[in-house]
Amino acid sequence: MSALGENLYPELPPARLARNRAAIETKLAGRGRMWRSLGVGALGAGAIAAIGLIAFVMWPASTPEVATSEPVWVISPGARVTASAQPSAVQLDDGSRIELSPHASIVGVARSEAELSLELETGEAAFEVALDAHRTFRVRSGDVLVQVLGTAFTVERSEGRVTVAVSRGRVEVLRGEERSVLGAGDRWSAEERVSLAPEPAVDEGGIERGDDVIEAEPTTLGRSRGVEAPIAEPARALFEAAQIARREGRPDRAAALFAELVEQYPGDARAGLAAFELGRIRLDVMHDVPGSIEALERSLALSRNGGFRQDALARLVLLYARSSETARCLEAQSRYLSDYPDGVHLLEVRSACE
Amino acid sequence: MQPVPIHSRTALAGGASVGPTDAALVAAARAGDVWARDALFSRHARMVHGLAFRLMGSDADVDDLAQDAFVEALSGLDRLAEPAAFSSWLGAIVVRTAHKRLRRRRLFDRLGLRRRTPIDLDALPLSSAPPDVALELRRIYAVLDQLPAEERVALVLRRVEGMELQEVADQMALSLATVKRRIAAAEVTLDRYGARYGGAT
Repeated sequence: MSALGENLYPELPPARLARNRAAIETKLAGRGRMWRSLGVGALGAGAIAAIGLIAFVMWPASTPEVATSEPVWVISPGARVTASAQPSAVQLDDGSRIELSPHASIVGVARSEAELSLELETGEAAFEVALDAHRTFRVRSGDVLVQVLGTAFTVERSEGRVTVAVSRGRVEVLRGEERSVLGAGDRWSAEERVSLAPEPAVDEGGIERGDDVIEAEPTTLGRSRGVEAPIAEPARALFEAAQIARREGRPDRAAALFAELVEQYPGDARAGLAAFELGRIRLDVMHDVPGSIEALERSLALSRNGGFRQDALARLVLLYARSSETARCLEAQSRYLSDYPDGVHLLEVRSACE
Repeated sequence: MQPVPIHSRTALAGGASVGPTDAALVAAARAGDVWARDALFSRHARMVHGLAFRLMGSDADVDDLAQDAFVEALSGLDRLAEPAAFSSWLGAIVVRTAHKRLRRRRLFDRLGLRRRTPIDLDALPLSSAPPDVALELRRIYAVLDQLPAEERVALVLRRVEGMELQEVADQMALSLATVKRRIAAAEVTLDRYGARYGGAT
């Protein structure tokens, strides 16, 4: 793009993008239903043309907005929303939306720039979460913690069981040491345990605790449930989640996920690359030289022939040089020169330890 | 639902590419993976909204246009011959959708069926835009509503987006010669009107 176009941009807050994303799925679903109900396959070309004309005339000019009559709930620790005897809904101030089954109750747990967190005390709640690259959305239910990587999911707490079902996007389900990543259509269910999992570290940002209760507006709950499905390749899911976090501008989160992959699945084929990526983030974003060195050393140990090895080794040489660790610098330099005598970083590496 | 693999082993081992490629996401989206559609949206939303905004000249129609472009793209992935070229294909859909709307808007204007809302030139460029850039943008956008839709789109792609002529032709599905003619005609109007607006040519 030219310099002109770079100076001409609409405001795109996460809530606006989330609304548009949801509207696209609605339109896609509507388009699918329309074509199916019209029985396109049985119609001839002339009929299809006529249907096209009807579709053009009937197609909504714009996506219906989320009803604005719903109360807007500003999550704060202690603030509670309790549904009446009917299904109810509230909007959150970040553009997210929660639908509650009759008598369901949710309470705010934490609110900071990095996190919005609440607890489902009882009943069932469906969450349509606005994408926010800088803030994690968490829902606790008993000893289960659901962490949003994507957009829409349901949590149900009843009769001693917690059930999580994802309709769109991805979520992490954390329970003590257990961790699962659910994708669209996946469902997770387990009995509640008596002891609670440790609270995640939360910066409450000095927000005062309150105990305000607001009544949610009645609405209709109509969503389909996904089919039971096993979690495929947790290491791959971790790797993908880390890459998404990095693309979304959340390097801290990406680093945590890469680190988790390396620690929990060192035998996985991605572990070496994950350690390398972790080293890069620690150095380039966090400016953590010792942490970067540790991760790069780990990446070399985990992968004997990965394509990133040459870069990892060259970075190590330069980092040891920067840390004035001459002996290690020379040792890494020697490894590089031995493994990559015609390497692309030859000039830098040769002069690094001087 | 079994997730569709979106990483090739080669890409992982090579380490050069970070994240699933558009081609991999398109393959997953074709297989019905909503997560892949989410990823394609996240990756290209800014491009689509930005391009729509610059083509339409205001924020009013941007959401609707962006939604329609994504709907057309995501529902027509099977027609995409080169999945790796998803971005440019999506851009062409935005251009085509905007062109249709501008043509319809111009027709309604002529028939007196639409109340004209002039482009707010002062609110248009980002506040951080250098003065000369802001002036040039205002000069271009002051004249856009007077141009036929095809000239308008061609001018924006060339002067604002900074595309090469062949790229403009590809995005608009026109011949290179036609694009040159459209841009030349738009430039004539721009020069004539630009003098009145006070900007340099």
